[in-house]
Amino acid sequence: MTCPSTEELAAVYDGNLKGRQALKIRDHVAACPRCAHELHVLHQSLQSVPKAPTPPGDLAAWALRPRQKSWIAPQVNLFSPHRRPTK
Amino acid sequence: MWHAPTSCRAFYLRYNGLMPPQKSPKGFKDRPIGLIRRVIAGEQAAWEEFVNTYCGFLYSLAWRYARRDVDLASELVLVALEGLRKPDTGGREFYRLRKYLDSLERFGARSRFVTWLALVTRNLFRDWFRDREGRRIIPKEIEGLDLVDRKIFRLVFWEGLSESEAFGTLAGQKEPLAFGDFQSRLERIYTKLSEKNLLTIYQDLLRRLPSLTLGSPPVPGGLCPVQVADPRPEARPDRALERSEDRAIAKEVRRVFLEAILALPRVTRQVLLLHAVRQLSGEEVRIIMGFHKRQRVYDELAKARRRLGSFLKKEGVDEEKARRSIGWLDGLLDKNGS
Ligand SMILES: [Zn+2]
Repeated sequence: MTCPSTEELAAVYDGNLKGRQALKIRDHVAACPRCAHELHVLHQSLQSVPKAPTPPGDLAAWALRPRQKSWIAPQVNLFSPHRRPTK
Repeated sequence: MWHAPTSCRAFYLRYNGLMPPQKSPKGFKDRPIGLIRRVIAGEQAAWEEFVNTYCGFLYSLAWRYARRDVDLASELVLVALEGLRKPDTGGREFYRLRKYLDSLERFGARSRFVTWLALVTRNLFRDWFRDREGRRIIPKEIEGLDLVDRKIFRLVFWEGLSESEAFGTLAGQKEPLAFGDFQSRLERIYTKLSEKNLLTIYQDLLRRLPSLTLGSPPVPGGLCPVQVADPRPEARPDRALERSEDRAIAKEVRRVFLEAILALPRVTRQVLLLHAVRQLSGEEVRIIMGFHKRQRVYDELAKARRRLGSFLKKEGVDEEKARRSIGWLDGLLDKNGS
């Protein structure tokens, strides 16, 4: 079996995966180092949440700031400047 | 065969049995299906509500990865939000959120939203860090240099210190480096770097543009005055700018600026780099470039200013904002007389 999806793995963590699918996935997770590691890190991440400081007050506003399209430079291939796309 | 670390092994064994359903932290719905549906439908107010609700949670997740760097943690929150917005191959936005809803409705994998969000976010952070590291592979030419050279390379090109700051950092060490030695090492690094890597350096230049206002601009013809700057990252003026309300603007200006620098003729670009970034004197630049007269250096710099100025104008960057972000260049060029 290939590794479960992000959605399935999250459900495994929450203990909310039901039925035969759940058994299969749990078997996999128990045998797969990658998935086990993912769950381990997920656990640590969630544990650390309450200990983190509050974000800067303007962060949400900053994230929601409209992006000014006219300022965004066209894609430039940094490694071949001599073949820049012409506008 | 792979052996899990003990903590890891113990952890997944816990999940081998039936676990009682976990609870979401206070203030979070287990499955905010209505909100997610509205976000996916493209309702701006819903997205704002989403960002306001989960911004703090994302920041907490980012905090661990950012190692207590407030700016980096904020940046990572944007990385996460961008990742959530990302369209699928068909151009439909929020494909990750769509997948989450699908999993609830069709596959019966009923995870809490915050658990799912933490897992997705971690993947996004990991990709972002990997991407950043990928851009930071030590160039082959540098690998062959000695430890001190590589250290200088790191400080200047990776950590984004100005050359004077890098020297300040090294001068404060147990075995301080003489300035002459520092300069010849830097010289070696630059001559080793290929054209390709120089372009990476231009990009780095943009990242630390405002820090170039440190000290006075080089005096044409004379030795460049090096001011040993306060090496603490928080003392860097560009960091102050990043923190200010204008950080988004500054970022955009710099992006346009990169475009403008790449559009300069090669010779002009090289002169600008040597003089403005490497802080070499007009005479030194003349010798390196093989010009007959020093005036040619100043002519090239003046050309750079004209072109950059008109490029910024064309891109619609407000003059005042542009000047604030590239003020160092203005001062530098004024002094040389155009
Ligand atoms: Zn797996």
